[in-house]
Amino acid sequence: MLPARPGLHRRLLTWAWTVFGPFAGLALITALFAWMTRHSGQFLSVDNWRTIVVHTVIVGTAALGMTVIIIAGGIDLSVGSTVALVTVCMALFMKKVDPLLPEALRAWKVTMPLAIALGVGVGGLCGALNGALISGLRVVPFIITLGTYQAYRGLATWLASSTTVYVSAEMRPPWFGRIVAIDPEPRWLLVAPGVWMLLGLSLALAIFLRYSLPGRYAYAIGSNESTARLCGINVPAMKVWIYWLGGLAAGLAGVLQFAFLGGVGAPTTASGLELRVIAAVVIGGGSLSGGEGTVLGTLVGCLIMAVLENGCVHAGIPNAIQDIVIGVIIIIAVTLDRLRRGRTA
Amino acid sequence: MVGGGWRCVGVLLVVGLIAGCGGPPEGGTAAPGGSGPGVAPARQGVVLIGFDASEALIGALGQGKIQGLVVQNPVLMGELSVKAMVKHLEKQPVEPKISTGEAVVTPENYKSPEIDKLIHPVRAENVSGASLSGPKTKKWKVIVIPKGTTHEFWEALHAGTLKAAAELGNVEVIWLGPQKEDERDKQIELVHSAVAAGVDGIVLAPLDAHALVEPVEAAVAKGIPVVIFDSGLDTKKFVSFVATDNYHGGVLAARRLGEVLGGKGRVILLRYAVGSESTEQREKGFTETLAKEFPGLTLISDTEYAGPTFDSAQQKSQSLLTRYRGQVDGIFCPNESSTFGMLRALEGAGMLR
Repeated sequence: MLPARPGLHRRLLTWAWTVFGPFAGLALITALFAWMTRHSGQFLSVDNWRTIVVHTVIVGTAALGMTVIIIAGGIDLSVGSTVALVTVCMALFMKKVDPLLPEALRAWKVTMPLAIALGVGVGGLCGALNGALISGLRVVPFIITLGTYQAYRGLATWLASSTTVYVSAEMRPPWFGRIVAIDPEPRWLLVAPGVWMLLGLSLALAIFLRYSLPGRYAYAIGSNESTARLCGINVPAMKVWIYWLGGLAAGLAGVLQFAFLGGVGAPTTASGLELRVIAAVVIGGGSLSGGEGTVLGTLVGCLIMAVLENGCVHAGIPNAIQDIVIGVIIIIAVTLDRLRRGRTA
Repeated sequence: MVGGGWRCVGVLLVVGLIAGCGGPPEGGTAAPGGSGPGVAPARQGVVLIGFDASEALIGALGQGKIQGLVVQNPVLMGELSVKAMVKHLEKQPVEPKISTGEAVVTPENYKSPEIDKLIHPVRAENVSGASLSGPKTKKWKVIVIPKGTTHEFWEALHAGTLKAAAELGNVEVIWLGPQKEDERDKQIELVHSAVAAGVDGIVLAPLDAHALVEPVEAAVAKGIPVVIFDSGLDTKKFVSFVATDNYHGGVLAARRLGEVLGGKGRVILLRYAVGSESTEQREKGFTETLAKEFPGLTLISDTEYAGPTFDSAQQKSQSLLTRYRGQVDGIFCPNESSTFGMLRALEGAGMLR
C-alpha cells in the first residue's frame, strides 16, 4: 500500500501539470504584462480582454484544423494562402454573382450566407487536395503543402487580377461584420459571436478527438503510422479526410478574416498566418512528430500569442522587439514542454 | 516501378532546368543587341519620374538617373496632424481638410536650400517613445498609427509628430504601426488595442480606405476622436484630414514628364496598390493631366501594380521592362517603394540615360 501512494500522487501531479501547464504560461505572461503596464490598469480591463479574444478567433479557428493535422503527424503550410484564397473567392462571388441572382432570391439576402458556404467549401477543397496529393503521391506533407502554399496564393492573386477586390457596404449585412466586432450586439453575448463559435467548435472537436473512432485513429496514425496501418486503419483515406477537416477550418478562418477586413478580398492577406497557427498548436503542447496535442492546449496557445501581441502594444514595445519576444517565447514554451514530458515519461 | 517513375521525373526536371538555365542568357544577350540599333536614334534612355524622396532616390536624382521627384512635406504633415488632434481635444474648431503642400525636385534644383529642407527632413528613430499604459505624464495621450514603418517617409513624419509634441508640451505621442503597408489586419488590431488602452485620440494613416472604416467608426462611437492623415478613409466621422494634395502631386509629375520629354513619347504608369487612396489620387492626377495637357504623350501601360514592398515593385518593374524594352520613353511611379523598385529594374536592364 505504501509504495502505491507516491505513484498515485505522482499521477495526479502529472495530470494536473498536463492540464494546467499551458495555463501557467498564459498566467505568467498575463501577470508580466499587467505588471509592466500597472500604471494604467487598462491591460486587465474587460474591454481589452474582449479585444484580445476577438484577435484570437481567426488564428484559433485555423488552429483547430491544424491540431488534428499535427496530431496525425502531418503539417499544413498552406493555411494562410487558403485564407487569402477564401477572402478573394467570397468577394468575387458577392460582386459577380449577386447581380445575376433573381430578384426573389436577392430579397431574401441569400448572397452572404451563400458566400460563407462557398468560402468554407473552397477551404475544404483546398484541404482535400492537400490530403489527396499527400496520400496519392506519397510525398511528405511539408513538401506538398509548401507547394500548395505557393499555388493557392498564386490562384488567389490571379483570381483577383493581382489587386484587391472590394465589396460595397450595402451588400454586407450588418450581422456579418458583427461576428468579429469587439463590442457584441446584443450586449448579453458578452463577447463577439465569433468567439462563442470558436468555443463551440472547440468543444465539439475535443469530444470528437477523445471519443470518436476517427479521432482515435488520428492519434494512432500520428503515433506510429505503420502500426496504425497494420491494425487495419485505412491510412491514406484517413489522411485525405483529416486534411479536408483542416481545410474546412481554414475556410472558416477565411470567412472570419473576410468579416474582420470589412468585406475586402485581399490576395496578400494572412501571409505568415500558417506559422502563427503552427506556433499556437506547438505552444499548446502539440508535437510536430505527431501523436500529441489537445484542443484546450491549442486554444491556450492562441491566447498566449494574442496576449503577447496586445500586451506589447500596451507596453509600447516596437514591432521588431515584439517579433523577437514572440520568437523567444515559442522556444521557451516548447522547451519547457519537452522537459515536462521528459520528467513524466 | 515507382522508383523508375521518379527517376523519369527527375531526368525530365534536370533536362528542363538545363533548358531553362540555357534560355535566358541567350535571350538576354540578344535583346540589347537587337533593340540597340532600333531605338538608337530615338532617345538615350528612359525618363523616370517618381514620388517621395529617400536617400537612395535623391542620390539617383543627383546622378541624373531620375529626372524628377514629387515630394511631400512629411514633417509638416506629422506636426499638423498632432496639432489638429490636440486642438480638437481642447475643444477648439479644426478645419476638416488641411493641406501640407508638395513640390517637384529636379536634378537642377535639388541643391537649393528650400528644396533641401524638404528632401533632408529631420528623422526620428523607429522607436515607440512612450508606452500606452505608462503613467500619464502629459495632459493628452495620442497614438499615431502610420501605414507602415519601413519607408523613410514615415520616419520623417514621426519626427514631425515629436516636434509638435515638443512645441505643445501637453501631449504625449505614441508611435506604433504595422511593418508592411498591406497588413490590414495588423492595423485594424492596432486601432482596437489603442481603443482598449484608452488613449485620448487616434491619428491614423489608413492603409485601406475601406477596411479601416469599421474600426474607426467604432472608436469614434466610444468617444475617441480620430484624425486621418496621408491617405483618405471612406467615412465622414473623423475630425480632420491632413494630407498632401495628392491629385495636384500627380499633376506636377505629369507636367515634369511632359517638359523633359518635350511633349512627345510613350509613357508607363506603374500603379502602387488598389485601395490606397493617396496614390490613387496621384495616379488620377497624372493620367488626367496627360490626357488634357499633353496630347503627344501616349499611355501604353497603366494596369500594373507595384505592390507593398521594394521587392514586389522591383519584380513587377522587371517584368514590365522586359515587355516594353525599347518601346517606352517615360515612366511615373506614385510612391517611394515603386520608384525605387523601378529605378533598380531600370539600372539592371541598362535602360537609363
